[in-house]
Amino acid sequence: MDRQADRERGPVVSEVVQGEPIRVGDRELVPLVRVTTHLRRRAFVGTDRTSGDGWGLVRLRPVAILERSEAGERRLSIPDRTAQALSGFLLAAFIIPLLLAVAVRLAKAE
Amino acid sequence: MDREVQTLLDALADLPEKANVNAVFGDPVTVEGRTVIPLAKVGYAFGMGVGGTTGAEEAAAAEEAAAGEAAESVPEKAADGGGGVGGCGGVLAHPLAVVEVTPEGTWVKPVVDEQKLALAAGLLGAWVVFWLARALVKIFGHNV
Repeated sequence: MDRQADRERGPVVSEVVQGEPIRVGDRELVPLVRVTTHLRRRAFVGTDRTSGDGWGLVRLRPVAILERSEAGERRLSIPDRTAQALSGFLLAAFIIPLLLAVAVRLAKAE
Repeated sequence: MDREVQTLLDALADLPEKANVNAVFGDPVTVEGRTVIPLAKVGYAFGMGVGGTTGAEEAAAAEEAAAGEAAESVPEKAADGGGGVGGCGGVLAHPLAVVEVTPEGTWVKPVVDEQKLALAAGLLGAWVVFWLARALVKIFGHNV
């Protein structure tokens, strides 16, 4: 069988990229964006059939803004308050059952 | 068909370079000396597939058929093979913050997704009630 298969699963690549500056008055705002990509490609070449498939994911998240003015350069972070709150909820979801388990043990010990 | 497969693979390879980082910034809006720039986190995904036969199988089948039957009964397009291409994609954007630029300075004001937080809080509440009830049953269950 003279079949050949070509697979490529790229790693998850994440990098911070500078966007095009936005001019507002005498200030220049340069966006910093974290770009996360993941690709998967696959090809199959055979004597009787040929096929290929692939998918890709791209995520763009602004992380900061560089403010350039006559006074100098300043970095303004962009917090993701929703993600922070959800992380807090997730942490609480793990801790509360543990605390209740400890409370049950203490109550039974008495 | 080989060319279509190669085109598909090349298109996927260029995906990171084609990602437009400026898509996360909306158009600046200026009102009464204050400029507001909306920020969003953007995600997009797509998948594609292409495939088909080269015609070798059909040609072999056609030759076999031709050996036993009249030549007119052999499908003319059998040697061309068949194939198809399919794909789909989607884009998702969520507001993240607003940049406010005034003569006094520049501020970043985060935007909270209240709907998502309300849903998560409801799930957390149900989770806590479940564990609390379980704990109470374990502590007082024997006396009830």
